[in-house]
Amino acid sequence: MNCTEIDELMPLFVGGDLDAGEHVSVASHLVACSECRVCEGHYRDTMLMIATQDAPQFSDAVYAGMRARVLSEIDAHKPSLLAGFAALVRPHAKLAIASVLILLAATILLNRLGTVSEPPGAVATRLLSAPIVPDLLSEPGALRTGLRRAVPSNTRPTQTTVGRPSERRPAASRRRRERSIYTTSTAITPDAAAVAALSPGTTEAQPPMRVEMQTKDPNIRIIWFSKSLD
Amino acid sequence: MTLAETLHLHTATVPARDELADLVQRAVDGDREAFDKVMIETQKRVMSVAWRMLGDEADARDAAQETFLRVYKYLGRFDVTKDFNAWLYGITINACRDLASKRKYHEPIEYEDEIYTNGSDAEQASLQSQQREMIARALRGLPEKERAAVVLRDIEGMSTDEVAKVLKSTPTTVRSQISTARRKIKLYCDRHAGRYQTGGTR
Repeated sequence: MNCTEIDELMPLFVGGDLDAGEHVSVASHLVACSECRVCEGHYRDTMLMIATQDAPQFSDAVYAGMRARVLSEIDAHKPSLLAGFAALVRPHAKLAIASVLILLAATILLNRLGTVSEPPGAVATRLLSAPIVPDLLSEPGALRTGLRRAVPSNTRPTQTTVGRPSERRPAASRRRRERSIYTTSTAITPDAAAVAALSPGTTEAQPPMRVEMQTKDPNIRIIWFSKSLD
Repeated sequence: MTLAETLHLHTATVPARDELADLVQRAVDGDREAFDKVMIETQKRVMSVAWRMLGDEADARDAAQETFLRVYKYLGRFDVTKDFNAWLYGITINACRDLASKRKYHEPIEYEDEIYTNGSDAEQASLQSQQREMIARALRGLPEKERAAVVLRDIEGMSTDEVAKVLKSTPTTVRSQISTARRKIKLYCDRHAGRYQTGGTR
């Protein structure tokens, strides 16, 4: 190493901040170079003065006053109960609490959407309150057979289908289908509206019946209608 | 080992680590009395660093006050398994930086000789005072990061790695900052050496 390189390393050499190899190199150079030894001496004097750079000796009153101000400032800005709780709770606990709250909110939301399984009693109640189909009742042929209305093929709307079936189906439709998933069951209800519609004035006649059967396939529901028994 | 460590020149008393850790743990748990004791144990170091960073007693007091308020505020986030002193130094340095950035300019440091008249020899005391003034001025002329690095390394006696952690930097960067700072201080002293330097090789 030449003197220029030694001069670069000197500030770290006098503070003991060089690695072992560099330290040995500088030390061996200093043995042979008097100019660099002078420079080293100046650095050591400076380091000694830095190390002896005492801060003023502040009185106890200064420290006591400073502490009193800190404590009074803390008292003046005492956190609210909620903030105090938040400060006490560690970050991990906060994360756990937040996760539980999110799960709770998600459960409530899913319950409202009806995507979770319902108890059997709830399913039966919903079946019994299934809406009637006025259009079917108004068509004598359909009423007798219980079949779907015949729609001429030439009157069916033409749809352009692109993509997979699940992609083509609107989101609202998907949601409705998902909500209708329940177990196979049957409901028989007298249809008072149909009585009024089909045989006005014949109050003695037996009311027509509506029989609904929900298959395991949520897309298929069988609905039978019976005429009134004269 | 630093020169300061070698010479046993630290002015601030360092509390026993276990004792301080216990106090910090209690303070974290909300014990206000423990927090007060933590302040008592560390106030000299905080004031000392703040004074060296800012060069003014009133500013040092303000910085120390702000430091302890921040310590209280963020105590809940402190990991008690880590070194409290390093965390405290980091907060102190940041508080000093913030305070310095608020001040548009610094008043020149005026040293009163009677503060430093520890020895019986008035001439010697005056010389020491002048040396301190020279170093203080040299420190004040450094960029903040270099000043923080050299204060923590050469005056507080921390290792380069510890300084890097406190300053959220790398040891290589800190070494470079320390090297530059020492060189600048030495050059400043060289200019005033005829008047102030006392002994040693010249």
